[in-house]
Amino acid sequence: MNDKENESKKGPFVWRTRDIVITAVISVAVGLIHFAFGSLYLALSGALGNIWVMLFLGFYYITGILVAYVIRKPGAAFFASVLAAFVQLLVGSPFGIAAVFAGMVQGAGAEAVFAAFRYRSYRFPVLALASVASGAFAFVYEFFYLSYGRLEWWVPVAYFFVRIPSAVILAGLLGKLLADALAKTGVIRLPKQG
Amino acid sequence: MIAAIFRERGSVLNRINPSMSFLALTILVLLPSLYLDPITPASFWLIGVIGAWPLARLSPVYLLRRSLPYLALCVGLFIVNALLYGGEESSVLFTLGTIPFSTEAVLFAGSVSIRVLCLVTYSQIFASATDPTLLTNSLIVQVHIPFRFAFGVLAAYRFIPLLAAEMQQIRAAHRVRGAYRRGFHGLVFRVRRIGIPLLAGGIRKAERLACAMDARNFAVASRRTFYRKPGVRIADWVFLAGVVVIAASIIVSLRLAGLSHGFLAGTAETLTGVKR
Repeated sequence: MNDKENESKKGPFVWRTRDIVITAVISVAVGLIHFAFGSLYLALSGALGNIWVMLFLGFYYITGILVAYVIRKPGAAFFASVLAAFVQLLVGSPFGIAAVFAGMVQGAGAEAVFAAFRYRSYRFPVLALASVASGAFAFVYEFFYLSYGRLEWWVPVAYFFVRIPSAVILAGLLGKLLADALAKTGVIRLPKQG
Repeated sequence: MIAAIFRERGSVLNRINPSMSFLALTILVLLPSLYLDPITPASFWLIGVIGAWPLARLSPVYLLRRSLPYLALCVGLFIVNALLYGGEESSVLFTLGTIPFSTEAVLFAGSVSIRVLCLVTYSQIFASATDPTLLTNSLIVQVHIPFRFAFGVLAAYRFIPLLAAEMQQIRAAHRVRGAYRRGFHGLVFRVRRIGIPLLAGGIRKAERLACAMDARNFAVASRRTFYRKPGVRIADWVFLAGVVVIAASIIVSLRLAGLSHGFLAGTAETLTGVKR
């Protein structure tokens, strides 16, 4: 990226230092929360079993949605997801290396949806769609890494569909509520059109 | 740097370019997932535990202690995958209650759960041996991440201890006003009442930081200089080549011994589960 050129451009889609650092702070914080959430997820998977615990999987997709909703720039969802994953890796998450790949595909999924709406619409249906896209992209990655193809045919189907409501609620809705609550405190300003 | 499990141990892996070691460990994590037998991932796991001792100065005891909590996850994955296995099943290995487990199901379940054990172990090795600052520098120079982003991240990373201190402060403030709820029931309450001020405080700090960075012409400079500039040296290539050679020799020798199943024996089948 040529920074001289960057300086002269002042469009709504140009990343300012402020956007970068805010994205970074939110992503680092969410990465730490995900790291802590990892142990809870393990405990829940013991209590609920491998399929039902995926009802909580959506929480892992929140990074891209929350940051994209707050920052509204191209690349925000992807950058935030990957960054939160690297934080998890460095603080010693058991899924560290896999989390980085998962972060990339989840971020790409959300990014694809925001790009399809030309980074102009951040209404709840768009956020929900982006969350589901995160889940769908992550599913493809898991399908290969954990050989879902070898299980009974209905198992991967269940793995896929169980995460959809989870993504909509724990990533889309929670991300939006969180950002709206932050806007209420006055630290960020969100445009009128949701 | 705080908030990472990295500690300088003067090991070989500490001096390897972080981008290169990430690439090398990624190969070791992803290759076993192309196999459907437990022996291949187990060999990859073993080579990591043994190799980390001289190369990263991480003793097997340290690695086992760090991955112990996640053994439960591996056992859970084993049970679920053995129960839900849908491939061909020839002979019943044992029955638990009334549920029969076939040899194939047990081998497959073993493969998946040991794969995850492999992932856990290599993640711990990478995190324990990688300096976050060097990783960031290397991502800028070798992977060409724009430095504005990378340094913004590095600055934010330093906030972690500050955020932790702030969290204590918010908690204390709530307690003093009697607005603290204990237990699982109070979890939602705490997440809202602590999480939002914490994030808000973080964002305020981020804005001040961004201002300070801009005031020092951070965004305008087009060239970067480094205190410790990471290069890719011969040692890094040797390390990567060594990892590739070891991985290849494990794969080839297991194949010759007839112990592995998958990849060379039929990648498409391994990945999709569709038998041709």
